[in-house]
Amino acid sequence: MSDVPPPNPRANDVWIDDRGELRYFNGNDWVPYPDVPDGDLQPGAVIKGEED
Amino acid sequence: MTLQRPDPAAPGTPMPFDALPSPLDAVDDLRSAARWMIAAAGAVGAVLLSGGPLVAVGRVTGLGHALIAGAALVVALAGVGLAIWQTSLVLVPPVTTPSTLRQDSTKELREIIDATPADFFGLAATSVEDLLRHRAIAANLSQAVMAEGDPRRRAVLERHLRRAQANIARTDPYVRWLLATAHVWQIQAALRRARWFSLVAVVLVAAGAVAFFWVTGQQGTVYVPVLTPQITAPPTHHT
Repeated sequence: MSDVPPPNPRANDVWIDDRGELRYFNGNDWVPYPDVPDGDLQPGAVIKGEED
Repeated sequence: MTLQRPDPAAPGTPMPFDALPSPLDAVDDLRSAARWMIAAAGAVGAVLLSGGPLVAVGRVTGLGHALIAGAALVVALAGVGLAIWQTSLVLVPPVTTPSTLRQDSTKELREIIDATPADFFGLAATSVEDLLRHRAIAANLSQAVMAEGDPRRRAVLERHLRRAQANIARTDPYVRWLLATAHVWQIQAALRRARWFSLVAVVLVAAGAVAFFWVTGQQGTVYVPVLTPQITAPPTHHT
């Protein structure tokens, strides 16, 4: 835990800030790591030829 | 009343994706198309090597014409070989991993998904990269946990590691669907590439065949034996 992020980060590097929150480097900036919400949405794509 | 959510980790648990056909169902259709293309190319090759051209070769006289005829036949057969070789690549199963989704071969698929991520991932991710990042973050957290000596900091890291693992469990069905889609995408790209090579092959076969039949048709007059009835006895006149 520190108030200074690690130098020269790569994508998906992690950092625990001074408040104990997890942050990750998204390629541009250190952003808070979110919790993925539950959801039952289906992918909106079907890849199939003619029905047999 | 409590809503019981299915455990994604439990084997045999029906997932929301089960309502849709698997993307992998398309693989058989794509490979069936490839088999037809290979059969067609093979038929052309068989015709090129069949009796007609070989009979025509027999009429070639002179080294120059023979070389031209041979080269033309090689060009035509190279076209057939090119078509079969490229189309057979469709039948070779590609290896699809999360890193495949970062390659140029799936760039178009990424762009389609990233344009409307909610259609594909719902609330689980805002992009393909966002969907795939949880394993990398969990791995980095695991390394940090192992390297941390302070118990308090270690506990904080372990708490976040559990969050990352929960995120992996929630996003895994989407990752599996995405990998299956990328797998089909690669086979579809191979089939599309094979069609272009087949077009090139048609040009090669046509050029070779035209040159071959032109040179075999330039061998001067062909003398064909003709049977002429011969009168061997004088006609008799009956008076």
